[in-house]
Amino acid sequence: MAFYRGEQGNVLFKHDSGDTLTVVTAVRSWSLTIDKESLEVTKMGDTFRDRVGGLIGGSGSIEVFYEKTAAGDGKGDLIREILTTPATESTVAGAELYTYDAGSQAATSEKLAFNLLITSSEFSASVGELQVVTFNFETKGAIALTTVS
Amino acid sequence: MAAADLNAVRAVIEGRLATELANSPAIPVVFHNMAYEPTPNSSWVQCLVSFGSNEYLSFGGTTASDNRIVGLLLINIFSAKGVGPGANYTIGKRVRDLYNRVNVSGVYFDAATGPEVLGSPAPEGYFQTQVRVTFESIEEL
Repeated sequence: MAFYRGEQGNVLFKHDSGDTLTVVTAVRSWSLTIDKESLEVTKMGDTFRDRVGGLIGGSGSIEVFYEKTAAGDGKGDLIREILTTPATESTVAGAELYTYDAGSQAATSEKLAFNLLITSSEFSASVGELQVVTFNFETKGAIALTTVS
Repeated sequence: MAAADLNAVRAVIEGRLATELANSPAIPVVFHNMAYEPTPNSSWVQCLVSFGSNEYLSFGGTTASDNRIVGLLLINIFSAKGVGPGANYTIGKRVRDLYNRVNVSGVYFDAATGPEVLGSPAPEGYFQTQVRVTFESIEEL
C-alpha cells in the first residue's frame, strides 16, 4: 500500500472531444465529488428500509494560478471555457484528474476521466497573493476511475 | 524552466542597494560574510539577505511545478551617535524606497518595515535603525 501527496496529482483538459487532452499548468488543487441518488424500495412488511442506487453524477473544482495563456493549450482553454456561448456548446469538454505519479501520466498512474461542463469561473486577486482562478464544474456522462494503460 | 538560482536572487537584491548607495552621497555598504572596520562617527549600512521556508505552489514533481521561495532582507543603518536621527533616516528613506513593494527581476518585495530604531546598537557607538523587507520569488521547475 502506498499513500500519495497532493502535489503528485495533475489535471488534463480539452475543450472539445476532438481535441487532445493537454496538461493544465500551475494547478493548486482539484476536487471531485461523486454523488449517487438513493432510491428507497422498502416494501410493506419489511422491517428495515431498503434502498437501491440511482443516477450517478459528479461535481468539483479546479484551482489554478492565473497566468497569461492562449487558446489551444490546456490552461488557456480551461480559462476560456466559461465564456463559450450556448450556441457553440455542442462541444464536449473533457478532463482527467490524475491522482498520483507526479502527473506524468505514466503507465502506473490512476486517473478520473469524464466530460464536464464548467459552471463557474472565479477570478480573484488579493494584495500580496498570487492571483488564482477557481473553476467549478459538473460532470457529463460517465465517470471512470482507471489505471493508465 | 529550471531550479531557482538563489545566488542570482541575492545578487539582484544586493546589487540594487550597492548601486544606490554608490550614488552621492556615497555610503559604505557591507554584506554577509564580509569584514568591515567602520570609521567612528560615520554612516554605513549592513545588508543581510536570508532565505527562509519555501512552500509548494502547484502540482508536479521535479519538473513542471512551482515553488514559492521566501526570504528576508534585513538592512541595518548606522550613523553617528548623539546628533539626532535625521542623517540616519535620510539613508533609511533611500533604502526603503529601493524595495518598498517593488517587483524586480522576478523578486517581489513586500511593504517595508522600518526604519526602526534599535535600543542596543551592534556594534556599539552608533545610532542604529533597521529596515526589514520580506520578499518572495517563484521557482518554476
